[in-house]
Amino acid sequence: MNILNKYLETLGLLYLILLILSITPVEILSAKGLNENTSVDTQIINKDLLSSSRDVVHIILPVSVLKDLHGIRFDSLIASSCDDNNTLIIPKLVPRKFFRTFLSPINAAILMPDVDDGILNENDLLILTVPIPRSGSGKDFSSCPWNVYAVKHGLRDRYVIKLSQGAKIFTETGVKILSFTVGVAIYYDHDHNRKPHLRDLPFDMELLAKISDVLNIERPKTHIVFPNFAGEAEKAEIFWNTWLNTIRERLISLKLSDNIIVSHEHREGFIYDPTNDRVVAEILDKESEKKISEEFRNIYPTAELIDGGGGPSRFYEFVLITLNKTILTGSRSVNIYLGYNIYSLVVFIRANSTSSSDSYLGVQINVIDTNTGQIVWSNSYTYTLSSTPSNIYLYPSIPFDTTRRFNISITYYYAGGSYPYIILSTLRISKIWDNMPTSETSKAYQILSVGIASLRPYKVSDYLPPGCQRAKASDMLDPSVYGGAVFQIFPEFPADRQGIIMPSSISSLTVDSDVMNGLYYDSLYGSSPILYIDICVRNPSSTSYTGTINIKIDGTTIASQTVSAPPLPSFGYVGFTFLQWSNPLGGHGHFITIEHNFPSNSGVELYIDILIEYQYAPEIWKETSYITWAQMKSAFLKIQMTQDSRIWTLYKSGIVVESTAFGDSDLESMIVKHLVSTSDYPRIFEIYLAVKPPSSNSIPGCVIRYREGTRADYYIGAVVVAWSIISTGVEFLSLVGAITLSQPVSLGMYVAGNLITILSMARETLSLSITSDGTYVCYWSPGLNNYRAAELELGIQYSSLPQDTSHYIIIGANVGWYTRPIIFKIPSWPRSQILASAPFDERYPGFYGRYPGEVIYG
Amino acid sequence: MDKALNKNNYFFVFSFLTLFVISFVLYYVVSLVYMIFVSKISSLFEYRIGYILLLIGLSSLTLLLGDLFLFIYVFRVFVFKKYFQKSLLKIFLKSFFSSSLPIILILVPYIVVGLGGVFNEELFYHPAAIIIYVYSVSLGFYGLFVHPIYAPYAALAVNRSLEASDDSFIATYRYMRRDINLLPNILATSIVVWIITTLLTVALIYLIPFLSNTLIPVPRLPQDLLWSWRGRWYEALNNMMPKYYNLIAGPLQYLFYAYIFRKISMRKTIR
Repeated sequence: MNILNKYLETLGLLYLILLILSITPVEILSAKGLNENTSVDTQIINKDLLSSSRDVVHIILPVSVLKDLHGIRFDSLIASSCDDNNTLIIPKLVPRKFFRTFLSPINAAILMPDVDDGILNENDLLILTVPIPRSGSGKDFSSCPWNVYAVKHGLRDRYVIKLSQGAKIFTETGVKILSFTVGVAIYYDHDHNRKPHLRDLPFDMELLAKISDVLNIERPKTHIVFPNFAGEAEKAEIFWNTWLNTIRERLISLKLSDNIIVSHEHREGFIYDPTNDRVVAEILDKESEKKISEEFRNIYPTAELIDGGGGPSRFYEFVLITLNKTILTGSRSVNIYLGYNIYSLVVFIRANSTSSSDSYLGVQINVIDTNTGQIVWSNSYTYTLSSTPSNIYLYPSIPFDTTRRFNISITYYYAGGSYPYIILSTLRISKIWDNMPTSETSKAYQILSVGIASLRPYKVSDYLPPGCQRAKASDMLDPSVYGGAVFQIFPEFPADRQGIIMPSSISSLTVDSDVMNGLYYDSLYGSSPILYIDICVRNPSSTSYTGTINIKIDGTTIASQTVSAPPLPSFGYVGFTFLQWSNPLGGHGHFITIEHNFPSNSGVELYIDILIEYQYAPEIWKETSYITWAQMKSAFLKIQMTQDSRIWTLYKSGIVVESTAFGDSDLESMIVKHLVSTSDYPRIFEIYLAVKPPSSNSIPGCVIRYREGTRADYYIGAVVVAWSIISTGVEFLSLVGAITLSQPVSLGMYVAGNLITILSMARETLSLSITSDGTYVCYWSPGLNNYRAAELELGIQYSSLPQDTSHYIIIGANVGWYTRPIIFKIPSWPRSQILASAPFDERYPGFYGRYPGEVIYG
Repeated sequence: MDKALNKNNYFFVFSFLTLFVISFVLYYVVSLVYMIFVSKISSLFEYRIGYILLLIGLSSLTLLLGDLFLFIYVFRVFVFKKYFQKSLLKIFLKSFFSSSLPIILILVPYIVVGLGGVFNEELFYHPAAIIIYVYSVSLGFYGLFVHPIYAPYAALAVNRSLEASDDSFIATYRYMRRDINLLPNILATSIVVWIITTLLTVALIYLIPFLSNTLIPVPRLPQDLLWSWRGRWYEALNNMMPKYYNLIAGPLQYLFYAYIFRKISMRKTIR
């Protein structure tokens, strides 16, 4: 409950931020724009694009005319445009009132908008943000096909709203009269217990403020944040509620329901064809359900009958951020690997114009079959954006197929006018897994992996050798979400280059397939993973080389291939695909070794891209529990470094490896630092560093450099003598028998012995031990102490080593924490990465600021 | 005579077997307690500081009360050579409870703070730390130095109550006071039994190394996870769990105790 309260407060803070940004007189949103180049480019880039551009308008509907919505949960509503099956609309509500509440994270009272119980009544007003074609779609809307997304989520009731010519709509510049017909359908569900499928804030205060400006209603001059609950806050509550009521009255006086035809429709069921993601029949009555179902099954063998409300009960959701706080001066593309079993996909874009003049944003979406490379769905939209942010929701059509994998490619491009500013764009994926791996999770939302990329590809546009294309589009995860490792071999490459570039001077590289998203891999229920390794070989010299590339898993060679490395501009390529290659050990992945035998001084580079796909069974998660899942990061990385390393920087779960060379090629000291910090949950369980020194003369030392948190073990100081007496007694009793008895037979002594064992676990421990193969393990555990951050350091001093000496470093940590909402993944980043350059900041835009614990949304 | 002898033989055989069965149950219950709590403690998802206290509290309660009960049993059967009669059940329960009180009182903080540390870890964090680091000294002292003497001493007093059919709550303490002169005998017997049992256990393990295995197999983690939090806890579990030799040497130690006590203290004890 404490964690629940904590996150409710955080959500309240998000409200506050949005509220402040939207309502206070200072225009914060435009501040960033003012720092950038905001010169308006009036050059129209593509006339065709602009003519088909959609204006984002707002339709306000009084719920009084939609009688069947009375008593419906507001968050069950979803709407769509009749002329485009793939445009979704999430209705917003005009708040019923503002109420005062105290927000402890900021130690202040604020006014929050409220919708009471969220059940619609006749006094409510819905705001629909609808992208409509400039000159209308030309359709007559006598039929509005049932939206596929609505069908798949079990919504069998709807209102079709036809706005005829003369109907009033809201735009940036004011109330406009429609010159053509617009059709919108609002879908809903009578079931109060259904979960909202697209959770979002029920209001858009910025939009409401804009509407009030358009209606010439003056906003109150008072603030909405106060140090005290009473006094000024009480007065402000009255002012703001008066403002709200004035807006409501004015909207009602506009008679917005004139020139609107509303019709209610209900369907008993639908025949849905998952292969093509479309509705092939709508069933109007129960009696004909069976007959229609059978008829269509003959034509569409994979067709399914959807005849119940509430939507699928067993699915999980993922939200990925695709773009954030970006001024679009050209185009930006994101390619995301979706994997199997996609039930639905929603692209969300919140964007506006960087200046007061319109801006044109283009969005191109392609859904690609991963195996064949074929585009199965494609569409392109252009939107006219104003200074008021617009929320756009797109539903790309994707077959629901348990045997096919898909990628999605989203391209955002500047299409004219002033530059578009993408405030936030996300991709929300819903997946269904038919056979839930564990019975306890059958009713819960499952979290399953879409795939893993523990190692990210380099940025294609910059460092991929020209012409070195992927043989298959198999690795499309966006690093901003999964936070893949940044492995940088040469320091001259900037830190934001991702992926592995292995120079010829390194003959063997071993990496670990990390657990993705912190999901705990269940080796009993997860399936065998598929491993893809693509290697492009770039040879900058003028001599051709031929070499062999070996792939090892956990030390065993599983594949070997010869590849030639011709001089540029040609390149070599080898791809490996391993199906059913192995089941990972519980809790972490495998060591994957890539070896080559190109001459070390040849200058040949291997560009390595690895994708491993796992299926996971999540930890047990109850719907009512806010402890959704705990993220366990256990990272093992074993790298082999050659003697002539300078500074090697490796980022994986906060590991910094520094090796300092003194002199030309002698490695005289090496320091490995491992910094771990948590975000929400104040618990680090352990950190370890292990190194196998190249010679027996080098004995490492380790030290815990830094700790931050709560200590409990200072209590022990008072009784340390007493404990030593007890432990001596126990040891004595165990040793007397000449062979150490792990447990005395006498039960009282047994209890004392176990107490000693448990106490040893409860103490903060720092130890350096050596394994049978000569690896030194520096291990630190906080015991019962709660630390939020700690740094372990392992140092080795050498004395004159031969050239090309190599050594292994093993690094690991276990950290546990909780996240609250299923749709947000809040990672843990070590302080060093966060304090590092901007690219790491960008990788988790919208969730983290520069420091852990600072959550920023949008 | 033969009949009486036969009846006697059956009685002793039956009692002997019962002793082993009770010991078996005791050790297996404790094993389960260890397994359950260590799996929670070593899980990053489920860890709560309270589980550590519950681990100590519940296992110690089971072991110490079980030990006391077994002493009472062997004293009744092998020293006083009597059955447990139904009519004495009420007296037995009262006496057992009153003799258990010191044990219960020592362990109550573990249970209470342990539960608090499970349901509200933040609030009970420091109390739990104090119990584990500071208060546990008392349990350690008790288990190591006091209980090996207290258990047989209290068992004797309970049996006195049964003999006298004295069902008052303080009867046990009264008899303890009365038999205070037997404390040196009890101490001496404990030492002798400890020596014999330890030597016997060492011999057993030497001859049959399998007896060093845990009653319930402890999962073996892969080599590189042995450094991990979970690995260390599983290693600790492996050290803490009752072993097969406990099933043999455990019951035997009570028999030895009863026999030696009866021989040393026959004149003073048995009337």
